[in-house]
Amino acid sequence: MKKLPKNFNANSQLIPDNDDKAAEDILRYMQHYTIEFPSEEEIDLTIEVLRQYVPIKNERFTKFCQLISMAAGDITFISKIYWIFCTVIFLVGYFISINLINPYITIMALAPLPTILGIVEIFKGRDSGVLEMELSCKISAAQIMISRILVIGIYSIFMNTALSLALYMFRSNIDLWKLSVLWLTPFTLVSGVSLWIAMKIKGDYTVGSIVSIWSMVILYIYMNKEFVNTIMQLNTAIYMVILSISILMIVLQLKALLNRYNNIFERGNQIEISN
Amino acid sequence: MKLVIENISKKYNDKYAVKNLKVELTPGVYGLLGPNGSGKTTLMRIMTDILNPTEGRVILNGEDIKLMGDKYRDILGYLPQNFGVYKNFTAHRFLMYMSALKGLDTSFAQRKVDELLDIVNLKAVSKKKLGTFSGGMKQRIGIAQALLNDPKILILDEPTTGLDPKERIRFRNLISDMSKDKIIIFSTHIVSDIEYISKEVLLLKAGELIEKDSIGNILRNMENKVWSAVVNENMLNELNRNFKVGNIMRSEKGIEVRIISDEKPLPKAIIEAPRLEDLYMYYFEEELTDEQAI
Repeated sequence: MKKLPKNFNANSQLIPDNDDKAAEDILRYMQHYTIEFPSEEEIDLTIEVLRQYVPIKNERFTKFCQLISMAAGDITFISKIYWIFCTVIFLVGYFISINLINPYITIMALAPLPTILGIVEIFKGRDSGVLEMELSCKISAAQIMISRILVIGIYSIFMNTALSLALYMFRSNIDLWKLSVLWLTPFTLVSGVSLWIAMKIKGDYTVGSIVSIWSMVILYIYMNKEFVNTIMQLNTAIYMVILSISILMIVLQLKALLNRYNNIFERGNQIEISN
Repeated sequence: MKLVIENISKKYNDKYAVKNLKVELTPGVYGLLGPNGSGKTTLMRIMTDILNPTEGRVILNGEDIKLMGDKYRDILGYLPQNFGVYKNFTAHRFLMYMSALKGLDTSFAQRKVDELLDIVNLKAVSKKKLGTFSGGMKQRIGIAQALLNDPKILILDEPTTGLDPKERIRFRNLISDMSKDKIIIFSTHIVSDIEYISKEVLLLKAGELIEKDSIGNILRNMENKVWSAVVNENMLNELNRNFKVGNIMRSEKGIEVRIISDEKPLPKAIIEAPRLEDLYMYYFEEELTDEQAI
């Protein structure tokens, strides 16, 4: 702090020589000036006005509960064709791999399909132009999408787990750990990639392109016996690395989705949308 | 109930979509009138809390709507200007879906959906998929979803687009019936939509509120400013160059023309009682399209 000179006199600094009396009056007035303490009523009024700006503590928990109940309700609003189609392909997968095809390849091929096909359901509000109407409701657009991801994710995990257990129980020489790793890895990897693409283009285009690419990959693996062997004997650590990267990718996409769908685009302009 | 729009501005890059707009609204129907690009949709989005203003606040009964969150959405109904529907949903299912998003109880929603389908005259097709609906039918579904939670604040962006004349009258009557305890904001560029039902008209031009008053008062201000005359082709060209020309009708007598002018435009011009479509011409200096003049 800057020190005051030793000979500093406040009065000499403030009072001009030629108008001593008036300045002294002002100084005297200022020295006795007091700020009145607000009344109880004024204090209460200020508190009431400010109360609305105080953040609510349990908002996150409430939002989470809302999300879960939304996800439960969303099951009925997801297309019946989606549920039927996914269930049928898993049943077909089970029956063909119980006798005919390598069950590890079957489960690997089928694992990401419910998520890929579910992309249309996740982004259907955005792609059908219902988003603005949905935004004005209690449940936000991002919440709707996350709840659908939750429903489709749980369904995918359930179907893959059920198929793994069925194959383990009804087909001999099945390594459950290997079976689990072989569905979990493509499931997370392809889900992450699908979400990333769907954030950029329409849901149905995403599904079309990912299904085509995935079918080609599976066909290539199926036709190439050496490649099948390599996959089967690949070190578990490599699968774990791929799995970790894929999970990270999904988390990043979910974060991006939460940020993005507080925003909509209109006539080429980005419009900032409330939380 | 009082909704206060407090110095709202919305800026995109350097351009204002809405500029320093302040207005107080109480229960009743408000017609928001303005040409395309006047900021109607932006203002409505801000009022529905789906768009953040650059400056200002919207306050409902002393509370900032931004902080009210779900409490505000509970009493809000909104029909956007351009909206889509889930084509593979039936009308009934779509409304049930919207009810779920609005957080309505299922049994209440069932009753309300049936009631609204009846009101918007879609009960007979409630089990049909929305993909098979015409534009007007989809618009009616949009209106129904806005009414699901029996909103106290109803914001309708161009709600009569695509409705046939009979449906428009039906809709206007519905809005009028509901307006007793609700704040209804109704944007349009079809002047006849708001002529009979609005308590006040808000005139928006280039993002600014240029007038807020009852239709009667606004029209009263325009007295002695609307003229009519029968002219020939040359004179019509002359009038078009120098005055705001409204309706033009060709008849056996010649060309009957309606002119908006502070002074008598022609010696033979006679004064006319102003109508809302004249007001549109007077404030917005645009030629009325056929649709706007209906």
